[in-house]
This record gives sequence, structure tokens and C-alpha cells, in this order.
Amino acid sequence: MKFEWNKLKQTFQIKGKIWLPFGLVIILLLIGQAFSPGFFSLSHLAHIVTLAAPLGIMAVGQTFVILSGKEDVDFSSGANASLTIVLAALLLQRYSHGITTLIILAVGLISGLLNGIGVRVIGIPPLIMTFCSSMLLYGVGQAITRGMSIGTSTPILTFMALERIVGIPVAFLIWIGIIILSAVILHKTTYGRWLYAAGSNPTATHLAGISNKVVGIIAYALSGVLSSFAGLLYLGRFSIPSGFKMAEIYTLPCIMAVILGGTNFFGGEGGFTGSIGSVLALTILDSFFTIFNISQAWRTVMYGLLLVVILIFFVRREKLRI
Amino acid sequence: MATWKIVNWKKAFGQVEALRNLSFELKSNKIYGLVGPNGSGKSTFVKAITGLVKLDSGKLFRDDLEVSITSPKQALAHGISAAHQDLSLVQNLSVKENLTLIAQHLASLRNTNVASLMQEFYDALDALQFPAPLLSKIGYLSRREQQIVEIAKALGARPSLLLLDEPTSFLTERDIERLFGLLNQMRPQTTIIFVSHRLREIFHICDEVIIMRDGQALGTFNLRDVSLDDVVKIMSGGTSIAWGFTRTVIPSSRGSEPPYFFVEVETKKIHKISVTIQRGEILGVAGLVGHGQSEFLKAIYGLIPSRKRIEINGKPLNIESPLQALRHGIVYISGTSSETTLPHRSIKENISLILNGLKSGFSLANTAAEKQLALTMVNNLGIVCRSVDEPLRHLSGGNQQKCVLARALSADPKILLLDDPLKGIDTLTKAQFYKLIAEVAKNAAVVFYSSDVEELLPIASRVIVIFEGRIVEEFRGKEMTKENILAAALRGGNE
Amino acid sequence: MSGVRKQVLQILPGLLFLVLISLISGILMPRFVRLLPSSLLLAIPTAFLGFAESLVMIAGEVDLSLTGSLVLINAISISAYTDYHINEFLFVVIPLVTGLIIGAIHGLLVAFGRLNSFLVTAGTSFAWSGLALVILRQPRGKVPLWFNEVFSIGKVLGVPLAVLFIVIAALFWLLFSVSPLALKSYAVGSSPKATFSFGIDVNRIKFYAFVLNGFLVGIAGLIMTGIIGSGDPRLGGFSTVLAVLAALIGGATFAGGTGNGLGAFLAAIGLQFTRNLIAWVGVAHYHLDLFYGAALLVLIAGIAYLRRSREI
Repeated sequence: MKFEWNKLKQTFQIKGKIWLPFGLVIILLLIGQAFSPGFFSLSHLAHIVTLAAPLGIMAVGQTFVILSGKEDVDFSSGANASLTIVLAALLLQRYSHGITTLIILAVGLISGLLNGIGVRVIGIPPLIMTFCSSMLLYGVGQAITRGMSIGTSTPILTFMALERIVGIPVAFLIWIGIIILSAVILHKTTYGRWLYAAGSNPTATHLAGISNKVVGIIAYALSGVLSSFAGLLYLGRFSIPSGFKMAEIYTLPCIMAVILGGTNFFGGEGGFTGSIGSVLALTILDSFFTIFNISQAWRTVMYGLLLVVILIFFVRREKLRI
Repeated sequence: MATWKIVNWKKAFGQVEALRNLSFELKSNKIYGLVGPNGSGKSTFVKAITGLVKLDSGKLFRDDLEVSITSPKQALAHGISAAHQDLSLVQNLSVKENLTLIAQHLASLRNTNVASLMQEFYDALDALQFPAPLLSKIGYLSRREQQIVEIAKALGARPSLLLLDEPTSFLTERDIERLFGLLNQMRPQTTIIFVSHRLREIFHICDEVIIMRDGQALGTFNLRDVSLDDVVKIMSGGTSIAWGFTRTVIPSSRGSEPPYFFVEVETKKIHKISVTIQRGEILGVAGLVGHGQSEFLKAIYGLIPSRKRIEINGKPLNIESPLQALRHGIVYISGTSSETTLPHRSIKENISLILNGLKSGFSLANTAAEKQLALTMVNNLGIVCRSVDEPLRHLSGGNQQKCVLARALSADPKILLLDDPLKGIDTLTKAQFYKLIAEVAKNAAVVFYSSDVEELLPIASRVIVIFEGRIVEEFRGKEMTKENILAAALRGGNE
Repeated sequence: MSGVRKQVLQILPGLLFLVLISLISGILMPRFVRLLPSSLLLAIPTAFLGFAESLVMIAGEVDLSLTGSLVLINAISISAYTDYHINEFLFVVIPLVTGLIIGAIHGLLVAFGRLNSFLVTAGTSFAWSGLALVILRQPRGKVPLWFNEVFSIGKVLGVPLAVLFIVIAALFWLLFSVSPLALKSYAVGSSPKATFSFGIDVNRIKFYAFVLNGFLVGIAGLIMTGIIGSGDPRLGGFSTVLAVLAALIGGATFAGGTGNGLGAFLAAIGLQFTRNLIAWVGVAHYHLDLFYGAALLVLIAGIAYLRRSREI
């Protein structure tokens, strides 16, 4: 009898971690419905999903990074996306979508590799390294724009970001497509095995002949590419790039979404499924902020506090006396 | 000068029960030995009574009054002080600063001044003839010097209950003499518990001995009433286990053929160790902990930098990393689960780790093959689990270690390096391990280091003894006895 | 007196760095010496931030909220005087108290809440800078007249302000480094388990480290407010990274257990001078942050690389 109870608790803890964010989504939708009828409707849900997609894509990249090690986290996601917004707007004035996308992804790849090398080869703590590279990325954005607003979105981008096919938002399809691709990498390739091992126990992984360095660098590179790509969707949505820090506010939610979605911050366990729910939950929360006309400043405060709350429940040091 | 009663102490770490209804009494002014096989719970007991580990349940009585110890602060307040096995010293600070921290704390507890307490510490250091300057940073001291500081720290606090957990493993003979002299001096005022593997020392200095096994105390015995062999018998559970097979026989080398495995290693700690092993041989490695045995194995495996020559069947190999070692068929596992296990990952992932490491990162993972391999291993090794998809941390310590061994076996090793793999494993599981290792040895060579000489005897073809980074003796056949090996380990060979 | 010798050795890297940068600036920039009093004063707030960061890193934690805390302290001080008309002589107390409270909050979360200091302070940074924006909304406000006068003149009783603050910092460090708290902080940062076994309350020491850190950030906020004479919610920029780098130069490591507040203080001044140098070299305003950020990153990488342990 006692034995069964433990098994039940364990199953809930594992599955519970993934279902929690989806449960949150339902609760938030119900609250929204109470304040504004029509909230919990299919068409509004489609709207939320459209808004959530870019954040969702960044969260996928962030998941790779957080899975890869004890302290690994990518604080430059928002910066990557921000740079993409201004860079893509600039490039699209002259180049085709294909070339622009390639350049954008290359920039993301380079910044990701930079992060990976800084953290894994040089030994700079991840938060410091990615924080610094975010400053660099903003710096590049600032240098490019020189305070001006250059270029706009294009019809194709706007289509990808906001429109729907057969009632389903294109952005959502892109998001799910990326999740499927990433899930294949995570669960079906040997690299995915390496990633989970490295996050679970780097010493054991090293003993088995696997390079923690390579695993980490690739994880950061993936995050860089994905958050850059997300920037394209943001450009499609915002249409006009106003400033070089447009996506800064999404950095914290990106990290929170991964933790809330059931991925262990210390690495080694987790995945993408939960992040779908947590990204949706955070997006709904953000739309509450919009409905209640909460200023950008207050939103920053809320996100900061929310992170602290999430940390209290999900990421705590072990006690000194065990 | 107090009496102590430990009543029904229970402590489990996850699945592992470290203490299981531990109960015994301590009378004042005696020196008690605390002995027991690996994993019997001795260190957990020491940590619990000094407030570092929280008991699941149990009571403690001092002079028949119940006391509770919920932190190291309280333990110190009750006059309990310990020299821990894994030293508790602040690495970045100097000896003097470390002692000052304790002195400051004790001074406020006892309402005395810091200087007089520091003097006690200095006196203890002098009595042990501590060789380094007091301002040396702990991190820069040798293991032996750090051990002396750890002991002085415990003694100098003039406790009413003093615990010493394996204090002599890194000390010289003279150090040990001086330590025993001090303990004798302290006997009138202190109750002392001396935890050690070295039974000879226990018999030398202690009045009574408490024997532990599997988290329980089997009894307290007056050392005048029992012999060393009696103690060993009680510790190992009565009759010695019939292992069910004989020691491996070293196959005769066929003269002109190159040896199966030849290695010569030099590192910072190792002056020069060179061995030749035949196929089918299990080479036992013995010696006091920390004299280079583990380094030797790690150097072969490419984990630490070294100057070495490695040849398999006469062919020289270049091994600078574990991956290269694995590619040549050299596999390494250790007994430290924190180094080898992936606790959150499934059993099948744990077992397939090395195989996955040998594949290319771009290749597809084969879940079916992993599962099949895991099922086979679970069957052959007798791993107790519900399914191979369970996270490894749900298994007991012994079963987790079996999974680690399974991982090594799955790589089809030509040379198997075992770095104290049986630490903390219960006797039944050990017997199963022996069978498996013997199987592996049939087509390969095994280098088996154990910190417990007894573990080597049932299975090794021959045993080399390492002392301060050199091989000082080799035993085989009838001479391969525990006494001989221990003597060589302590003495450093024929001096 | 090897304690003194040890201190001098620890301060040396920061001091040498400052001297080096000053020499280069002196050679390249013609008006360096003449502008020294004011450029020195401008660097003081960051210097106190470096000092503050050191304290926390000695105890084995990190404070990444400095940018946000600084802005919030400025905002609260300005708002208290401009909007709520508090007594002008109490003005000096506000930033210090605010800093203490912020420090205490961090201390509670990290020490007693057992939260990861990197993440928590990164999160509170957002919260504090958001709050600052809410309070001020835009650059505005004023400081008490007497306060403004002190900073405009740049001297108190004939002593240049910068010198005064340097002396205060040195005194502060002296007092701290001989206190029992300092020894315990180093111990806690170096080996928390061992320190715990000595009977020391590790959590409480970490809490104190954050409170002191908050106090010093308060001082930095006070000085910064005096320098700009009003409130600006967009302040901050590289403060956090600068402070961390300064602490690193001052001997701290992310592992904890080492560091020197005075060394970090001096190093931070040197880092500010570096920024002036880069600006003077002719880098356009829009590129300044990029180059400076890159320079900081290179420095951090250099230090991290030199100190990296033989890890996997």
C-alpha cells in the first residue's frame, strides 16, 4: 500500500511537471473569460497562439541550453531577436528573403558559438557570458540603427507572423514545426543522448568519452539560431523596428517558460512539451497586462517578481544539513 | 566526562538506508573503537552526531537526559567535536584562520577568551609536531598535514565527546604514536570514538569496540575478551562467504609473443609504475589510500596528464583522452557513484552511455537496441528494477553500481580498469560482481584497485602494492595474504 | 605584520591596473591631468559598486542587480524630495536606507530562501529598473540646494570630493577586513560546508554580505544622484558588468572565498578611465557601447581563462 503511494507521487511529479503549465493555461483562460467574454474562444486562442509563437521558438533554443549543464542559461535570447529585427528590416530593403534569412541565421549561429566558447572553453559563468554578449548584440544593433528606424517588415514576414491558413495561424505551424525538428534532435539523435547525459552528470559523461564542451557549444549555437529566427516573426508582427532593444522584454519570460515547463534548471531532465503550455500561459498573462493597460515599466517589474516566484518553487540550493 | 546513549537512530538517503536502528551506549573516560565494513554507516553516524546530517528518527541521551542535536552549533555546545574523514577545513584560509574561527565561536559559547583556546590548538599541533607554518593556506598543505590540522582542531576543542573518523590513513607511524599518546592523556576527561578500518590500531589504543554492519550496531565488546579474528568474523557476518569459484590462474605467457597489455606510467604523484598483464589475468592493486593507485588507473585511461607507454599485444597506443582509450578497448569505472551515474536518466540510457559516446553525434539513436541491451544486462547481472525506463536514482546503491558495470561490459572491453568499484556495496552484490568480473577476465585483462584489501583476495591472480607512487611488492599464490599485503602497504615494502 | 603585507598584495592588481590606464590616458589625452578631479568623481559611484560586488563574491554569491538597484535608489531619492518634499537634511539618508532594504531583500532570497543568486538578482534587476521607471516616468526632478552645491563645487572643506570618497572607501574596507565578519565571509565563500561544521551560521553571513552590499550600492546611488543632480530612469548601462569585472580584477572569483573590496574599488576607477579612453580615441557615440562592451568581455574572458581550473 505504502509502496503504491510513492509510485503515484513519483508519476505525478514527472507528469505533473508537464501538465502544470497546461493547467495554468486553462485557469488563466477562465479568469480571462470572467473579465472579458469571448476570451476563452477558439478565435482568441488562435490569436494568443500567434502572439506566443516567437517566444515559443526562443524557449526551444533556451531548453537546449538549460538542459546542457548545471548553470547553463542563455540570457542573450532577447538580444538576438532584437538584433534580427533591425538587421532584417535593413537587409530586406536590398536583399531577398532567402539571403536575409541566411544572414540572420548566420549571425545567430555566430553569437551562439561565441557564447558556447566563452562558457565552455574559456570558463566564464553562463549568466555573465550571455549577459555580456547580449550587451554586444545590443551594441551592434545600436551601431546599425544609429538611433534611426530603418526599413520595415515585408508582406511575406507579416504573413508568417500574423496570418492564418485554414484558420490555423502560420506562426503556430512554424512553431510546431520547429518543435518537431528539435524533438527529433533531442530524442532521436546521439547528440540528444549526449545532451541529457552532460546535463545530468558532466563527470560521468566525460568518463564515457563524450565532450561536455562540444555538447555545450552546440546547445548555445542552437539557441542563437532559434532566437534569431524568432526575431523574423517579431519583425513581421511589429512591422516597424522602433529601437534596438525591441525584444529585450522577452528574455526573462523565455527563461521562465523553460523552467515552468518542467525542464530542470540544473540540466539532465526536461523537454519541449511543457514549454508549449508555459509559453502560452506567459503570453496570456502578457495579454492581461495589455487589457488592464499596464505600462511597460510595470510589466518589467511583474516579470522580475514572477521570476523570483518561479525560482522559489523550482530552483533552490540544497540545504547544508541533509 | 559524560555518558552517552544512542537510541534507535534511523537515516536514509533516498533509497539507501545508512542507519537502521542504531543503538549503543558510551561510558565516560573510555576509548571506543568503531569498526565495520564499507557502507556500514560509521561516517553517517559521525556526521549525525556532529549535527551535519539530520536523522529521520532516533534519540540521544547525555547523562540520561535527552538532548537533540539539530546543527553543528548545538553539537559543539554539547561538547562534541570531530575530526572528519573528508576533512572539514576551509581551503582558502590559513591554519591559524581556521582555528581562529572555531576559537571565536567556542569562546563565546564557553565565556572564555579566544587566546587561551587558540593556545590549546597550538599545543595540540605541537604535540603532533605539525611541520608547516601556521600561516600556510590549507589548500597548499599536503594531505597528511591537513589531517594533522583536522585532528588538532578536534582535540584542541577539549570536547567531552571526541570522534576521530579514519584519522590515520594519511599519517606516518610516528604521527600515529604521538596521536595515541595524546589520546591516552585525554582519556580521563573525554569519551573518545575512534573509527577505523585498521583493526590492529583499534586493538592497540581502544578499550572497547563497537561493531557495525548495515547501519546497525552488532554489539560492544571489551577488547580483552575478543581477538582480532573474532572481530573480523563478526564484521563479515559469521562465516566467510564461499565465493563459488577459485582465483583466476595466470595463463602462462607463450614466450615469444608480445604481452597482452603493457603499461608504464609517470605522473606528478607516480614515480614510475610499469606492469605487464596477460590475457585472462586480474591484477589486484593495493596500498594505503592516496598513494597513487587511482592516479595510475586514471592516467592509463587518459583522464589525467601523464608520461606513459601503453601497448596492447605489442602495439603502442597513444591515449590522451577517455575517448581514445575507449576506442582501443580500454574501459574505466569507479566506485564513486557521483562520478559515474546519471541519476535522472533512465536505466537503459545509463547502460548505453559508453556506446553512445562512441557513435557520431549526428547518428540516430537506437532506442530499441538500447532497450534490448538493458534488458539483457538486467537479466545477466541481476539488476533489481521495475523497468529499464525507470530513472536510475530509483535503484539502490548496489543496483546502480551494477548498471555502471553493465555500461562497462557493454563496451566489450579488452582492458577493464576498476577504480575501487565495490565501495559501499553489500556482500551479496559483491559476490555477483566477482562472478561478472571473472567472466570479463576470460577474454580480457582486468586491473582491479580496491581500498579494502579483502576485496581483492577472492579474485585477483596477483596483487601489487603501491606505496608513495611506486610498486613496492608483488604477491601471488600462497603469499597473497591480507597480512602480507597490509604489512607491505604500511611499511612501504622491505625496509 | 603579514596581514598588512597580504592586504597590499591583494590590492596590487587593481592599483596597478588603475595606474596603467592612467599612464596611458595621461600620455594620449592632453587634458587628462587637468580633468582628473571631475573624471575621478564621475568614476566613484561605479567604484563603490565594484566594492559592493566584491563583498558578495567573497561570500560565494553574485549580485547582478546593480544596474537596476542604482536606478531605483536614484528614483526613490529624487521622488522623495521632489514629489514628497521630505526634509532636505534627511535627503542623504534615503539612498542609504533604500540600499539597505534592497540588500536585505536579496539577502533573504538568496541566503534564507536558498535561491540561485545569479538568477534571482538578474530577475530583481528587471523589477528594480521597472519600478524606477514607474516612479520617475522620465528624467526629471531635483535635489536639495545644499546637496547640489557640494557637488557643483566639487569640494568639501577644501578637499576634493573624489579624494574624500576614496578615503571613506579605504576606511570602510579597513574596518571590514579586520572584523570577524570578514573572516567568516571568506570562510563561507571558500568552503560553506566546512564553515557550517565550525558552528557558524552560513546563511546569516551571506545575508550580512548582501546587506553591506546594499549599503554600498546606496552610497553609490547617493553619489550618482549628486553628480547628475536629478533623476534618470535610464541610468545604469554597464554598471553590473563593470562591477563584476572590477571585483574579478580585485581578486574575487565566481567560486568565492577570495577578493578585495579596495582593489575592486580602484579597478573600477580604472575601468571607467578605460571607457573615457575609448571615447576619446574617436569612436562615434553609437559605437562606443559596442567597443566598450567588447573590451569588457575580452577582459573577463582573459581573467576567466587564466584562472580556469583543470575541469572537464
